[in-house]
Amino acid sequence: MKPTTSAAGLRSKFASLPPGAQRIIQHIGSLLIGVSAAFVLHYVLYRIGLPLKPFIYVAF
Amino acid sequence: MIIGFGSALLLLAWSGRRLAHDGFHEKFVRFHPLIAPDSNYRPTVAEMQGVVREIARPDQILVVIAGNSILLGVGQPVGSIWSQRLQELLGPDYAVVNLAFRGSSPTTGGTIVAETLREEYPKQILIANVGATEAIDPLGTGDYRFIVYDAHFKGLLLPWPPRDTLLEALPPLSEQVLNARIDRWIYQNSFWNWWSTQIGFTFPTPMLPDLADAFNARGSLPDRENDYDDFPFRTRFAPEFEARNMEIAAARSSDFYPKQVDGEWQLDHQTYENFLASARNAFPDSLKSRTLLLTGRDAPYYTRQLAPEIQARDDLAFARSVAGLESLGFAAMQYGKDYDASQYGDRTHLTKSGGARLAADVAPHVRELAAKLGYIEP
Repeated sequence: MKPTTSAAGLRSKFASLPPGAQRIIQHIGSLLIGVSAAFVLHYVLYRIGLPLKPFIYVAF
Repeated sequence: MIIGFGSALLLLAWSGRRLAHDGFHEKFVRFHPLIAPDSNYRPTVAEMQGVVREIARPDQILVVIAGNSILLGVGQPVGSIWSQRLQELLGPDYAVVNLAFRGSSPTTGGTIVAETLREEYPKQILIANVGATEAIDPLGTGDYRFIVYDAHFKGLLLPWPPRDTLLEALPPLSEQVLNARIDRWIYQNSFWNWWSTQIGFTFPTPMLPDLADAFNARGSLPDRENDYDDFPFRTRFAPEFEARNMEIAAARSSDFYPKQVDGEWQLDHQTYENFLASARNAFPDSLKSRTLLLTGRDAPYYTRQLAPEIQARDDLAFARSVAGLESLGFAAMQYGKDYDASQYGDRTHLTKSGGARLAADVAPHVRELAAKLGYIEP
């Protein structure tokens, strides 16, 4: 229950901020989500290019 | 969100390209297993170009070593690798860069990197090894084709119809092709390879089963190549593998010379022509003249046990192979026939002294080629 209370507290604090500050925080949050998504996508594209099993070198 | 996504992707792409261009392998010697596909690390062409830029100045004669584990220097620890000895012998007018890989082939790895640097390093010599009678694939072996795809989809390769035909026939949605196409724009492979070498590797791999090592920055891990000289001769040439190795050594030249007539080995012209055709198609014409191809004999421990007529057949086949490659415009040489038994670590790889011997044999050919190409005074 504590996290819910804490989240509710944050929501309430956010609602009490002036509209200008709310917009700035929303923009920053949105930007960070976009950056994170790009970072994850970039990594996933790297990982899917790698074979599941590494190259096994056998000399004979 | 869209602005954050787009700008971050642009920044990551720019970073990957920039970091690879400048090079991020400090004190590079070779692609040892912890920075190679053996451990889920796939060097990019841009990254290997960066390695060359870190080592070679454009006014030097760039000597790129491609090929397989033999030229990588398997069994030769850092400090005693044949390519390091070659650098010492050639001196400061040359910059030797070892871009060979275990299990690779002459048309990928360093060969592709040298081709992509043909304008930035106009004075260049490529050294690669080929099987004396084995056909060469223009795209190389499957495990290292990603290097060819990487260069191809970035538009870095010369037009060369035998290779282009194969590249155009690739399944457009295969993982490797898609990866190379996407990497052209966002350099994800270079960026995450930089991350893997400098910050930390991002997932466990069978080569590093201990989780304490798995996530270490690969650039901080040492080249732990074995030294063949630490193993007794009879361990390297173990009796349990003798029959199989003798079988391989005895068949080395049987493709070219399958039978004898009146005591003379008869060349199989079709096989020989196929070999030549494969070599002709494997490298763009304009790059053949700066390419030195090496063909290596099997270890003397095995070949000296072969019947005299088989040894004579090997002499014929290797000479024929070198002559054929030269007729196509390559420089070519064979090595190993008169090496001491102790200079081989196993049937194909060389010990430290074998590597030093190879460097001593190769260096005059490199100088001769440099003179022929007008890089130095004859």
